[in-house]
Amino acid sequence: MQLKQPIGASLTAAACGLLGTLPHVAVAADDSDRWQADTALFYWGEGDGRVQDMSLRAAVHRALGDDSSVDANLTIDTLTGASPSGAVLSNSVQTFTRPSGAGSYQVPADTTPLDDSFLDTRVAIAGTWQQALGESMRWKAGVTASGEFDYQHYGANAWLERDFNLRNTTLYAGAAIGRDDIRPVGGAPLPLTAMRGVGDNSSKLADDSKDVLDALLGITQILTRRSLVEITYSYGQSTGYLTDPYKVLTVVDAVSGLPVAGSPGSGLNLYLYERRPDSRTKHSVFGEWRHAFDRDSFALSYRFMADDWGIRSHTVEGRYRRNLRPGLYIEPHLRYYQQGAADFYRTELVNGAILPQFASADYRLAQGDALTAGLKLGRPSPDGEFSVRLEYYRQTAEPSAGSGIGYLANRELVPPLSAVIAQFGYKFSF
Amino acid sequence: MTKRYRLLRLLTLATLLAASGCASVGVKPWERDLHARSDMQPSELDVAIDDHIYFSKEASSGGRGFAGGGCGCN
Amino acid sequence: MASPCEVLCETEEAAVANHISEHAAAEALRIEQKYSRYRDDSVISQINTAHGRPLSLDEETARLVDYGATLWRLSEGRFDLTSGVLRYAWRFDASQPPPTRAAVTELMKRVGWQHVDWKHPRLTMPDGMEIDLGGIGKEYAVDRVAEWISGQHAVPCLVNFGGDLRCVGPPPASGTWQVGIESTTQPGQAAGCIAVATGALATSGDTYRFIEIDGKRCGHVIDARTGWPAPHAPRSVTVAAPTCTQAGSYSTLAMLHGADAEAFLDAEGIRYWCLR
Repeated sequence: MQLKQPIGASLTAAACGLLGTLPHVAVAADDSDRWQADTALFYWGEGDGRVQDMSLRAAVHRALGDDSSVDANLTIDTLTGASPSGAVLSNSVQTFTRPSGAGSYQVPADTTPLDDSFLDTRVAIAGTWQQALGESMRWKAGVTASGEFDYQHYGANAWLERDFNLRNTTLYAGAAIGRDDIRPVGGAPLPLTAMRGVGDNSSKLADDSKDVLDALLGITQILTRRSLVEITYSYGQSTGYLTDPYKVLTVVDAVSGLPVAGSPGSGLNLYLYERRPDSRTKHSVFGEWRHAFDRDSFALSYRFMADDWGIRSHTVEGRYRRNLRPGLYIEPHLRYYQQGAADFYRTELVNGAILPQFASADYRLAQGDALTAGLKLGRPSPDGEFSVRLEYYRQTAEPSAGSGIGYLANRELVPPLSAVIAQFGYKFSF
Repeated sequence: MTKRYRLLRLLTLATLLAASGCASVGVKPWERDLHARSDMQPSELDVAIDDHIYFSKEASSGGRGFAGGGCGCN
Repeated sequence: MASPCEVLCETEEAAVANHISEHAAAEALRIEQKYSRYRDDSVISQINTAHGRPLSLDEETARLVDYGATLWRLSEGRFDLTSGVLRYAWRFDASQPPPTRAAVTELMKRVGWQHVDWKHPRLTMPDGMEIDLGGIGKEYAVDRVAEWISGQHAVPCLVNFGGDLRCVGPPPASGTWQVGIESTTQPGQAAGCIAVATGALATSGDTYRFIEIDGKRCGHVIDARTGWPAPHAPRSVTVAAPTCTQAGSYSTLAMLHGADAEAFLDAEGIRYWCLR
């Protein structure tokens, strides 16, 4: 049975009688926004003509019903600039053949050779579905794919987490597999063979691929009303073509330290394409402590990584969030990273010494450390959160043991890397 | 090297087991207000961006979650 | 209040937050104790032990009784301040069986606002009848606290007494307070989320206090004309209105309309969320 006419006006009058006054503002209540988006425009700029990256990222999240949600994200990267080819400097001009084999470039004396052949655009997409299983369990499944001119990736991942102990403890486990197809410009070179002259492709093979498996196991534990810790153990296994097809090692004379002559007729010094093992196993342990004050908060983390290439690394990172007022925050950030060299890292090879089974002069496999210092500024508002992040990255690396003969002694063989990070972000819901 | 792996694995497992055995550690549901604050969750986008840079410039990657899609970053 | 009460404030001054929470707690306690059935010294107990004598009520109680009387009229008798005695039959404990028809009929002799002589501020109630302000007391407390806060301090606040809540201004950073609607199938989980910037929300539902009759779950909102719960009432109704008192009345009346809950709310033109 229905009431004959709306009671709204009478009820309002009655409430006015009870309370004495009624509020003047209208009611504003509606379903919460179901879409959330997080976007960022990112710039990475190294000094000295090296790599510059401009990237656009967008991630969206949509809640569906009360126990599932979907996430999708898109990344577009454009890379320009030069990066070290692995060759060392010399006292005279050096000529190198471009990876495509269709041209060459020259590097002045006393300059660490940089290869500027990498102008590339990369597009990556990912999608994840999250579903609740009962009250305390959730699973996620996702796919990833990315493509560049010379590289393609496809992957799938799954994740399961369960709450215990009034949701104070959460255990999680995940696994991801990926297949990467590598199509180097000019073909993948035969490892540890000499760089040929322009137009000579006799040392090049076609394409190759690698398979990657990642698995992790972790726990998040709330300690007190203000603190929680998160600990994750990760395992990674890569198999296949793990070598960088564009990197070389210079073969230098055992006394002078200058490059020896390359393959006859090529007009080049002897540069051998690098070779890495065809498998790599990594173990990492990551721990983070997050703590909330009444207004501010901070996060402190440590990660240890060890792999079967002989690399050990330590990463310590801290962030302090200072919420100045509800609509403004600043967040200083500091990160220190230290790694040991890979067993087969050689800054250069010596003529006459036994050729190692594996060798690479990629500075990223050298012993060294890096420091990042930055500041983020954010402005949350009803229309969304705008943020700006500015960071400085400085990495230094050591040459391999026994490196630096003759001419190479007391010279900077592995130049340090300095870069600036600038990021503009906008997070909103609708 | 194998010995170090074994030690590492043992240490991690022990930590995880010890942590999961903390059945009495934690707070009541109504005391979780601070943990729900947005600055207590890491910014996923920032983490993904940082992870991608450091994967391209250093020999380590990931740690907190998956390293994400591959990349031919030189 | 029989439920957790909280006030969320966005302010940088601890002194303000403390002042607000102290006052809110004191006011909630005052109203609870004044209208508690379980305290011999409460105003309600005095009214219910008057045994037919006329009483002159204080201003606050008189206004509450006025409001209850209006609701009785607007709901055509479904809502009745004197229906409290039905709790002797209806325990709403899932382990107990529902009451017998005879028990309810017997108690219905003591129910009916039409038997009460009410001339503000004089109340004359027949012996054996009782008044219960439980249906409007909590929402009234929310409104009192909210009004005090907007008068005293200009800070954005959310006054939430067990799910009956009212905003005093939106939070400056995000613009809205996020309120979860509890799932009827999974208590403790949210079935949806409401973003509220201004106004009040109140919920009536059967998630926690219910009884099963013939295998069907019935809420604890009893139709005072029959003595039984309204048939086919929704599992939960959440209503948005300018004051918590109005929101609470709408949600209670919607439950009393049973199968016609949505039609009733649609006709009133207010924002609501109904879970069946």
